[in-house]
Amino acid sequence: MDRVPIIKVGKYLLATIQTDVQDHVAVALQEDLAARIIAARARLVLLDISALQIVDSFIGRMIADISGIARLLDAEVIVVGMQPAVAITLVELGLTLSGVRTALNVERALAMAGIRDQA
Amino acid sequence: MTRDAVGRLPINSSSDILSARQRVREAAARLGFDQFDQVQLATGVSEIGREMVAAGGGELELWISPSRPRRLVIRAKNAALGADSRDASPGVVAARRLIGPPFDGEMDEQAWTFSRLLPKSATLDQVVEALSVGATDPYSEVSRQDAELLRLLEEARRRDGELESVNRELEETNRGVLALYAELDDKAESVRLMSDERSRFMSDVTHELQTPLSSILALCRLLLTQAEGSLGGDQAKQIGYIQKSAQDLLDFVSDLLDLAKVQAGKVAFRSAPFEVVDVFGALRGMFRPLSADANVPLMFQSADIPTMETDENKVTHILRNLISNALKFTEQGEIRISATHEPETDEVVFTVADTGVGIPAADLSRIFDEFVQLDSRRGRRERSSGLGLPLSRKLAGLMGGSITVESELGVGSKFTLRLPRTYAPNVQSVAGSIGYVLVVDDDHISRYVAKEQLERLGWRVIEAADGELALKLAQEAECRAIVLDLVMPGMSGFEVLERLGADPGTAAIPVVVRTSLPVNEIDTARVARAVAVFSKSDDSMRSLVDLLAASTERSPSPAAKNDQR
Repeated sequence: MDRVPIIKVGKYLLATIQTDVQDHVAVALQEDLAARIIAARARLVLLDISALQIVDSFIGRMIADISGIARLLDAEVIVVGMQPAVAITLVELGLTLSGVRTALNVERALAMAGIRDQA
Repeated sequence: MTRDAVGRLPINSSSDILSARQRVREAAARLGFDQFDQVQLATGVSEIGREMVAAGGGELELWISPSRPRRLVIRAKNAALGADSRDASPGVVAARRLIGPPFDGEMDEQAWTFSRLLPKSATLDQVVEALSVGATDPYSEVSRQDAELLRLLEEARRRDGELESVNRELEETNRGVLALYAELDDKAESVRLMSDERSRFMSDVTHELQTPLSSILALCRLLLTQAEGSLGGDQAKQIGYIQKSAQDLLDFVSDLLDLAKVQAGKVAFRSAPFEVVDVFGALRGMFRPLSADANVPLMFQSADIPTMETDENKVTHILRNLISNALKFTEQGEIRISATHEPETDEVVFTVADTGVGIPAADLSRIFDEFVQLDSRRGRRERSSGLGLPLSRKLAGLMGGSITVESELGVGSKFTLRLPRTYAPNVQSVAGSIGYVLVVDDDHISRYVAKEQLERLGWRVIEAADGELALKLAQEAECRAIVLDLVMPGMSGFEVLERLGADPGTAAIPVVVRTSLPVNEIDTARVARAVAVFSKSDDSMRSLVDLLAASTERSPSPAAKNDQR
């Protein structure tokens, strides 16, 4: 897999990492998302990592970076569907991804976004 | 478990890191680690892998500790790692946290080790399997498969080449075979030509032999039956001998020719209805003097046989051969000739059984071969060509029948001839009336013989030596019948026949063809207009006379009736 597909759903962008990815794919995702956020004037990005089994320090940092970049572009990233083992491992690694919002699934992520929109 | 059972994972790039963590996760799963442990181990490997790539690459080794409790040991080898940098880098710290402590027995300068207790459920088989899984990474696997594919492609291409060359070889062989075929065709053609040549030669020679022989025979007959009767007793006897010898010679020539014709497949049938009783009657008459000489009686038996419809001449010919053979080899006893009809197959079965010397079993299959004469304690009583039986069998075959033989040495032989009762019918009827008979023949002796015979019966005969004259006479004279030779210089008999048919004034005149050509050989279509075709060499004069007489109230003279060869 060379690229992580990014789909526009209404006002949101949905990026689904479907398998373990190489570093350069993660870097490409970071760039692609930034470009798409601007092109689509999206305010919300759902990053679905439910299929991702291994998140090491590099990938973890990438996710945190994507979140930071999006925030600077007036969009919010919600990381969806992190596996429990991944969460534990990230904590072990000392990566708490502070500032990154997470949701257990896409439905709850949209609910979170809906609350935000109402506010 | 020893150090040898080790999985090795090269770590030189980020793609190596990806495959290493996936392999390690898979290996961990096989070793029975739970999902959380699998993720931890894989992530730890990923962390240490990054450290190794940053430090110039290296290799990961996986093994199981030899001592109990068993531990999974992951050893990261990197030549560039200095001892003082140990445990300092964040990757190593993370891996230490995720995988586990260093393995006791393995402290060395250029590697880190990490170890984790195996789950209690891990079996030896699982360990071996897990390590072997760890030994391959998907990228090297893919490139190995690529290489394999390339090798297979190369192989396929080579096979293609081989096939092509085999194909080429086959094509060449094929061309060779075709050339051989062409050669064979040429050979077959030349053999066919030679065979035709031989047939033509045979028929020419025989024709040349038969004509004078026929004349000799006819003259002998004339002399012997001549009322002018100036022959002394001795002279009559001598002429009788001449006649006998000439007849033998003619028979031989005829047999030879018949056989040649049968072999060449040039046999025509003149099928007509006839009674077996009549055939037997003729045979009885023919053999009476011979069987009387030999003191061996011929017994003819025929049950109620329906009318046969096939070539009577050929049936007679075969039976004549069989009977004369039987006579030659039988000194005492009798010869039984019988005929029965088998309604189921509609076949007529003739048998000729003798009480002669018999035939040795070993020779039974040979007697139908040409020119075979079996040695016998008995001397030959008569000259024989050795052609009789082969010819008979071939003739029987042509009529759709067969000849078989049973024999017992010293007891006798039994020949069985089976023939279909009917063959393709080809009936010719005779029509005509009394008056002049025009005899057309270039050979004046033949003409003379015919004239003598016919005049003795009261016919008036006019002669023509060639076709032109024959046509002229046929138009002018009041011809009731024409006796026509076929082979003549100038206009041939065929042409005369054709022109007679074309002229309304002569078309109605019945024509009897009397030729020295073998009847078998004549193209029946060309003589279809003739009411009958006879061979000069055959017993033809009597038949001719009978035929002509059949259209008058006159009966043939007694002399003609008894005229037999």
